[in-house]
Amino acid sequence: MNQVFVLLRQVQHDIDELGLSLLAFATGIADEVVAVVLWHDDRLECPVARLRGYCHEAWIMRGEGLFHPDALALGAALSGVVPPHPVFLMHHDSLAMDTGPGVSVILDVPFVSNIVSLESDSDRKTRLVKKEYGGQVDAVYEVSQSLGCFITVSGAFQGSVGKVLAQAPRVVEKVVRVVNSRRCWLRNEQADLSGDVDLAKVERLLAVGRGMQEPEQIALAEETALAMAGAVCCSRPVVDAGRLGKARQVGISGTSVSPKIYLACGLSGSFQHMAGLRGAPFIIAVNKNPRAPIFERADIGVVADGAEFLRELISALNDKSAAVSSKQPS
Amino acid sequence: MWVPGIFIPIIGTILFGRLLLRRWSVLRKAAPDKRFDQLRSRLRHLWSLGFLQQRQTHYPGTGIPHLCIFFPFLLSLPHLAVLVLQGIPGVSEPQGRAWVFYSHLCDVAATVIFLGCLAALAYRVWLRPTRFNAARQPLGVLILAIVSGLVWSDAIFRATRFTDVTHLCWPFTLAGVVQLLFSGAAQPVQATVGSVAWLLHELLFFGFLCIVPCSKQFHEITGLANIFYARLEQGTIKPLRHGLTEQQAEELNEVGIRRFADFTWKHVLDFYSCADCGRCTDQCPAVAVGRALSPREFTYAGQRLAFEGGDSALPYSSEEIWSCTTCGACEQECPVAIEYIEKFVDLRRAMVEDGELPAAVSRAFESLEQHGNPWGRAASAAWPRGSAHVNKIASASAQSPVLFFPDSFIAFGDRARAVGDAVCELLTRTGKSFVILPQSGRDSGHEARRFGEEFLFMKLRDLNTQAIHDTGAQLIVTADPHTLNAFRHDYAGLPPSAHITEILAEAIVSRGIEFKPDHSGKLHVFHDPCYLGRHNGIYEAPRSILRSIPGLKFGQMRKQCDRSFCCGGPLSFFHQPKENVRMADMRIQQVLETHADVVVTACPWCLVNLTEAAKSAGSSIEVIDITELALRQLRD
Amino acid sequence: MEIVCCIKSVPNIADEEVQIVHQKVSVGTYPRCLNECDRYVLEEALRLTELHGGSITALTFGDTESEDVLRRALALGATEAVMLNGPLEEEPRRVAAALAAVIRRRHFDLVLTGAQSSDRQGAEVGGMLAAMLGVPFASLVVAVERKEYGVLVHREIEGGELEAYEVELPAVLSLQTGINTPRYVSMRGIRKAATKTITAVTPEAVPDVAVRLVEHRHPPTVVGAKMLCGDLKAIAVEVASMIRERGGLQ
Repeated sequence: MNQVFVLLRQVQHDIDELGLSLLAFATGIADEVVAVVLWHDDRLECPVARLRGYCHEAWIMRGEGLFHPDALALGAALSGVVPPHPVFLMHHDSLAMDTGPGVSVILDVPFVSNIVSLESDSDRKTRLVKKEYGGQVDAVYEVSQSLGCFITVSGAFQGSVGKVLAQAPRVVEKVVRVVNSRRCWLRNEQADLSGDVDLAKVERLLAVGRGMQEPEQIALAEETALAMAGAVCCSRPVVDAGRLGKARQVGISGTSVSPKIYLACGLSGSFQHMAGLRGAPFIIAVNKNPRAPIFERADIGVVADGAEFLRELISALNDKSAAVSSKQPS
Repeated sequence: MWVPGIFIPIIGTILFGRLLLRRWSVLRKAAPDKRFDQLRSRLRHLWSLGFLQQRQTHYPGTGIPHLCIFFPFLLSLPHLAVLVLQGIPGVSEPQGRAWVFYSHLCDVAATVIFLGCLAALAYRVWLRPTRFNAARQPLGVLILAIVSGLVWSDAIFRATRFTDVTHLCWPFTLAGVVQLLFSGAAQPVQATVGSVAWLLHELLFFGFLCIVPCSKQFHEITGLANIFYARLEQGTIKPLRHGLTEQQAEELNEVGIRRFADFTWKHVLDFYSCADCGRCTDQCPAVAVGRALSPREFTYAGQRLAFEGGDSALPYSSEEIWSCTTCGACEQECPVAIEYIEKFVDLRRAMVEDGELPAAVSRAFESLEQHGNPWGRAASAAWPRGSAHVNKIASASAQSPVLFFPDSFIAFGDRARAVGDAVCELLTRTGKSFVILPQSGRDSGHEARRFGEEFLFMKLRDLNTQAIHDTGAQLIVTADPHTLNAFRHDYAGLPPSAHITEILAEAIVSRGIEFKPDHSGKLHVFHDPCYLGRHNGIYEAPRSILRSIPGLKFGQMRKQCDRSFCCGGPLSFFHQPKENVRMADMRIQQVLETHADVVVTACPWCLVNLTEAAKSAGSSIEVIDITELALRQLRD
Repeated sequence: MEIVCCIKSVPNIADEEVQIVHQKVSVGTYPRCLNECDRYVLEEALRLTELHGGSITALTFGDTESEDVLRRALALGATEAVMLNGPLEEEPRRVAAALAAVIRRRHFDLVLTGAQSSDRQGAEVGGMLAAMLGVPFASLVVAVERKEYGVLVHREIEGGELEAYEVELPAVLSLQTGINTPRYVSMRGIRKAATKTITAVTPEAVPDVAVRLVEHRHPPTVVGAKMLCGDLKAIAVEVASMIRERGGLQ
């Protein structure tokens, strides 16, 4: 590819990590990589320093309308400064979901979201793979490089890191005036995650998903969590169904956890949920469906009914004699 | 004497008449019901339940006293009429030896009535059974006191009326005792006492007459009618509205019961006829486990509403209505044949239409609509796919007049599908050819109907009926009593259906199927599934199978046959009402009391519920389906 | 409030394996259902009109089988239902353009869409539709409140944080699951709605899109886990000891 724009945002006082890794990939597929950074701090040293080696050119875009921008604002800001048919890459986060589709319409380029792999060929065509049908299908799309594209990239993206660039990027500061936005950011709030337990501090977690969301099964999960001196957490559908509070949701839009043990019951292992697992927990997965995606990531897998398994596990955990013997050197 | 003699009856009758009219007008405002068919069966039912009082003796402690009151009362009716009307000038007692003899019999009747009242009173006051509502105890005592007062005042009047020896009352009757006590008194004294007694009787009688339509005593008037109009067929549910075709019912603005006027006149008659005896509540498993439901309180609240004119809002909570498992223990027990199940279903119909239903039930409905099963599973994954019996699915190459309909639990339940395998094995090894319905995972719609989604039930019914006809089946076999009930009572135009226990029992008799002896010495008990036993009267078939296994130790257990205790049924898979203990846990305790080693059942729902309960109880008792046991013991 | 709900009929795969025939998912072999996010869309529209008055128009782009979702919307209380005929797997850009052409001709306060559909999972149509209509957009909305200036919306972003925005109307919002509790629609309600009319519209011609679907394929199965088989009791004992050893359990 000739030129690729990578859209990055400011996170706290730094550039978001995932955006940087996207830049690192871009240098491997494009001749010219332009980092477009939405920045609102006054000082530019940080982004300039961070971008060194990652891109040929860095556009620091500033302006009131770019603080929590919507598609109309961002699209207007970009359409003034990019050439026709640009190729944009952006990490598939909540900002990308909010602005990507609309910006692609304003820039009049095709749009493909949440891709997990990207291949350019010499024919000036690019193949993109995204997951569809609950992750059970890889859908392969093709775009023509000459027509540009707006692509959002999944956190599960697998791509090789390109070369580190020798020289520092050319820095261009672009101040943008966005007038009369009909959407106005008010404030950020912490979701009311008040609960009785801080999942981030728990070492042993039992996670339940759609397959274990009935009140009876959750009661069983809580009994098991008690037996293993841990806590129950869950994926989004369980919270949507009102079974557990928001404080128990683990995932992209929930809490991040880093336990030692993660026992996932009746949980398919979708990316949005597993993204909440940090560190390197020992993952034990129990699911009736042998094709559940979670078995890809788990260390130990059991194909069984979650409730039946937990009943056996409770008695195994409560069996004191086994506990003693497990402490003895083997 | 004639002033009160005319006055009291006139006023009493007017008041009574007005009350009756009010009660009648509420009946008239009610929804229609179809109860005027099968007169002969109705009369037979009336005879056995109403006149022979067959169910009274199921609770002998109060049943026998009731018989002591009921039969003598019937006998005394002419005597009572004459007694009450004697105050009117010109009305006098009939003459003749026959009447005299009859009057003596009535003295005996009065005595028996009084003894019955005493026994009932003792039962109420000293034994205080839990099924009697404590708050309404004073009323119960009052009624007994009034009845006692009636017979005593009658006896005193009889005894003191005539003092010559030709009118001696029989000794050991109340009247005889009174005569003994007054034998020394002068005639005028006796006459005065007699008059006072008569007046007292008059007042008590007409007073009681006015209490009757305002209290549980109304059953005295409506009870026999209620039995006459009782539902003759077990296991059925009323249509959306009597008198309308299904298409017409679709046009209705609303379905189900939202207000009192939506109850049918038979429902109102049910409310009128409740004698507050509490037997339904005593047998109800929901009451036993502490759910919000009490059948008697449900009917009592209905009675209150009916007496008030039927205009207030219904006092029933959603928790109450969704607690009923439709096991039928209440209906089985009620001496005046009050019906419960179809009221709950009708209430649920309204709630489903208004979107007020447990979330898991709504998910089950959606899954039934989408996939034909309530489990959210794809139809293609249904048993017998993945089992050795997949070649039995009906097709061009596999045909038979006998069709096995597994229903959605056997088709998808991990433990339940073993029953499907056992049935196939059994049928094969006993030489019976059969095929399995191709759409094996489709639900019969039995629970959808009882959870209030009538149209979903109708859709499944129509699909299944067509599929069954397409196979050309002449006999449908099922292992799930809920399916059996659906085919026998909810569907129409199907070939006959039978439960696998009926097939086996018949095969044992006709084809001499033999079993290997069981010398393990293990004690077996049988848990009667609600829909096999109570709703379809099949108690003997499974027992005959067990008896045919030589040497098998078979024991009785508490609450079996028509008093079997519900395991919780399909409802327990979709809704967990607030309760103190699970029904299956309570039932397994009843089983464990017998020190049985094996509990046998004949329903996949019971099988799974009891298996889980046994595990929770930490017991090693074996829970097995009768098909699995029969297969194990089948002689090669 | 005049609310337009853009809803989608999607294949209901349940727990089956997705059938891929000739390198495309054979959508026709599955029953259809309303996209999960769109259940919350209809409920939110109902909630808002119950509070503030107004009417609901349900719109779908799809084939004849997609009509069922419109029936459902009518049964729930939508005043109008519009069917745009086109292939179910049409490119989102063209779907958005077709929807925009219809919506543009009406007066509307809010267009509600689902955050994403369970089949394609692109989360595209809402944002594109808003840009085409030239109105503000917010995605991943978990709360909507009517205010004098328009609506106050809360978006759920990473880490469970919420962003609050004041949005002027007309606007497009795409709703996330869990925003409300969708009410149950009885089958009778849906059947009664069968008599109501659905307006069928042939979508205006929209330009081709420069994205081409090459194929659907099954992802390579990577089972990273060591699978334990056999007696469940024994497995549970093994897992319990793993929890003790690796989980730091005393």
